[in-house]
Amino acid sequence: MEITLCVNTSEKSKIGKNLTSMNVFSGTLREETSIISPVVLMELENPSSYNYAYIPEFGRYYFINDIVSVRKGLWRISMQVDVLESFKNYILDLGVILSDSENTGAENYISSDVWKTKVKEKTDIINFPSGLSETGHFILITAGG
Amino acid sequence: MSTIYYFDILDAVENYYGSGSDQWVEIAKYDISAENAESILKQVPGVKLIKNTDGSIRSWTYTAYERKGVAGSTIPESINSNVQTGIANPGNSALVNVPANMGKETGGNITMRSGMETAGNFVMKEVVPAVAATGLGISLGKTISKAAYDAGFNWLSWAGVDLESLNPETWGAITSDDDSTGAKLFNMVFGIDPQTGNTQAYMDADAAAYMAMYMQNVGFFGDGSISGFVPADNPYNVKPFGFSSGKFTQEPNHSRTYSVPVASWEDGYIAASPTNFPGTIYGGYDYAYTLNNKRVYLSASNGAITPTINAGNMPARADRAGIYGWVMVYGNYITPSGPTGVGTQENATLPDFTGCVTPADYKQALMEQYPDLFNNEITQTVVQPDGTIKEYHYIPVNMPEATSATDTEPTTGDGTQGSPQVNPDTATQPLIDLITQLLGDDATPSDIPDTGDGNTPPLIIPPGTANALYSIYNPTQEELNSFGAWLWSSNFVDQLLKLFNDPMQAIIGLHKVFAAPAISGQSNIKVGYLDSGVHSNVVGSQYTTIDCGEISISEYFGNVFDYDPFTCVYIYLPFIGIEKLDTGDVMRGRLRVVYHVDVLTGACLAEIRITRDGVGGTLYTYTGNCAVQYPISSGSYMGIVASMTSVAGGIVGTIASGGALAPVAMGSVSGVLNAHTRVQHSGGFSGNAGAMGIKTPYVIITRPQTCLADNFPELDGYPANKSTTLSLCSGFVKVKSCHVSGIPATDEELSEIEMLLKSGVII
Repeated sequence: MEITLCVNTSEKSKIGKNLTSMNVFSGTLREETSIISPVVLMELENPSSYNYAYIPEFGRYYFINDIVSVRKGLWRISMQVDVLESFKNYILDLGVILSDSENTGAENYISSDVWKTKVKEKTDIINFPSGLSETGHFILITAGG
Repeated sequence: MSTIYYFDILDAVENYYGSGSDQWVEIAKYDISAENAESILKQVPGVKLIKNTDGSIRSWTYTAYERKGVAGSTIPESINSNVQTGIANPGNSALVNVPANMGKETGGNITMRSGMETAGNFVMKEVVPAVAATGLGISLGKTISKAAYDAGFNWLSWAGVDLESLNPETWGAITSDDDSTGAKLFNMVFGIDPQTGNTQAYMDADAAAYMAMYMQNVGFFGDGSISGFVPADNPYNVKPFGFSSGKFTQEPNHSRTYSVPVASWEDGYIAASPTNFPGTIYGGYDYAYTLNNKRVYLSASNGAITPTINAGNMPARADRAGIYGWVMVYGNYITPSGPTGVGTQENATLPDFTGCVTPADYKQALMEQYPDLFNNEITQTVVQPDGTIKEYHYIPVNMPEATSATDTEPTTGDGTQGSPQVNPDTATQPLIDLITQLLGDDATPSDIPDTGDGNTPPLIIPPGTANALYSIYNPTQEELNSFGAWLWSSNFVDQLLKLFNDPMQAIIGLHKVFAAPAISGQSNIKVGYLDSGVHSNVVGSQYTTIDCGEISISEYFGNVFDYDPFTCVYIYLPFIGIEKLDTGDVMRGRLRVVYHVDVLTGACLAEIRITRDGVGGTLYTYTGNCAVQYPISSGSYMGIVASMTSVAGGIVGTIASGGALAPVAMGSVSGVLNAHTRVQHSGGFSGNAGAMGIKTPYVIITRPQTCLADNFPELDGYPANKSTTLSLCSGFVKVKSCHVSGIPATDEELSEIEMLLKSGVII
């Protein structure tokens, strides 16, 4: 099987990661291992610069959790599946209802915890153009007349 | 009124106000030096000072999400106020406000003036010179495609011309420094026609002249031909062609020195040593020239020490090699044809910069050859810290097609010299994205709610006269004094008459109302059968109406902050008190207050009519009494006092409205936590107490000072409630609900996918 080791510079939650320094290594899977959390032994010079992997045979991308030096030139690499990258095309086809969004569907008039204010306020006063009489008018009411 | 000291004002502004144009207004009220104003405003969060590289001030603006502009605009006539944006928040509509200009009056006071003196509203945004220059190039009739950039064209330095060092003094006055990247930026202004929605970009006129000078020097306006000195005899068979000549210096042991502009070099045609250079060096003579610490060798052949270039063995850029030889032989340079990928628009008017040397020369040439640009310019005056006024002129230019405001390789796109404005309906997506990015990236509402409909029934004031039973007079003070004099006259005959007809029995009441009654005529005041002989106006109608006029309440933020519980609206009504209004009722609306007064009793009904989106009616009514009773006997006086006591008892029962105690929808619980506790602003006061109050209604609007992190859209996202496909989303996205199905993953993986989507992913 082949294992591609590479460097991921994107956030863990990014769909569509930026992968660089890709190197493909071939070998034979000699022991049982999980496809969700595989642990493989690899004969390499020094894989410490890698933090990401792809195993085509498993059809999945992986975060490298740990790299243990077994002996010189032999490394035990523990991985955890990156579901977002492994199934990104399927995920992008999902129909969803958004809760928060940087761009699409963003709404300015929905209440949310993101709308933060200080305890200070500002006060504006708007006067109407006119009002009641300032001085008043006498009203005398008499009977008859 | 206590004395306000100058430094009290400065301290108050510094310590109290959060941000926004309110500080500007406050500062402008008092005598303050420009230097102090700059010092204060620089410290105010959210206020951004734009300085040119040379230290002069270009403008004041606001940072991040809170872009506040000129306060107090009226609601424009609109059939749908939902699409109007807030004063503070530019949003995505046509109303994008600018900060007010700071100007200086002759007396030295700082004043605030309205924004740009053109139709529509503008913001000032920073762009890299490439975006501004490409736009200018379009306006001057040129086109630029990606081929130019693929061939190596660069706006910062090309053909031996360095943009910044072309004229450092002018450069410092037209650019700003980007602190985060260290890049040099131009400041541009954008106008949106509120009628058509078309966008017009404006560029500083001095910057435009500078860029025109740069473009001229790098051959931007060339027509494809080669010009320059071509001698009739060409003994060395040197063929000048291709791009511009170079700038290089002959090494000291040679006699000729050339100093002309040169393009960037490629190692392919510069030899590191004589042995690497195609051709041969004759007799040990190495014609060495140095450029940018690289040596250029030219071969000699046929025994003659001639700088003939053996084109057959030249590397790919033989054209440049020929130029080097040309320059060395003839000692001059040729005018290049212009960069690859730069073309000319059909029927365009190209500039002629013959004889232009300095940026001022180029500016004059532009003014003469493109008068429309300067006829449509906009100006902004900005006071400098030393008190002087600096005036900036911005001329309209085209918008290029660029992926962002920082795109260093923009192209012409669809723009032409003849159509400088961009119609968003027809513009390409990259251009729309650029404009949006330049103007602001505020959220687009996904739904436009319906506007209201209907109106309240008409108000019909009942008639109110009963001339036979009683009369209502409207005497002046003097007439009243005369009446009083007659009433208590000591004249024997008068007293005799009053014995048989006690006038006091016929005086029903005397009070003052604070509304002009409707007068039907004049007559003597009669009490019972007695004629006092005092002339007075006669009130013809019991009811009168006072229209206090109309005000408008606009959104300030253009978002949820404009409504309860963040923004609260109160109204003060004379003879009634201060009442709270539902912000949702009045925001984006016009308020009109109409008082209906019963002059007979003093009862008044304040009617608040609210109009929004062309419809509306009476949404609030409040009652009071605007009569001040005057005692005319001991009995009537006791009655007045008793009525005042009962009014005071009514105040205790009034409940404070709004705030945390008000009913709140479940969805806005978090908003309640942000809300302030609202207190009662006044009790009800009518009659004698109300007469001591203000007689003109006014509205009190309390708004929050927001505290939004600059990058919260990328980290938290705006709230949303939209049904969509994830592939249509970009940036940070958090899902509220979804069915994670159709994915060939294990159950554990499916659960993790759902969990990650609901906690937020970046697409």
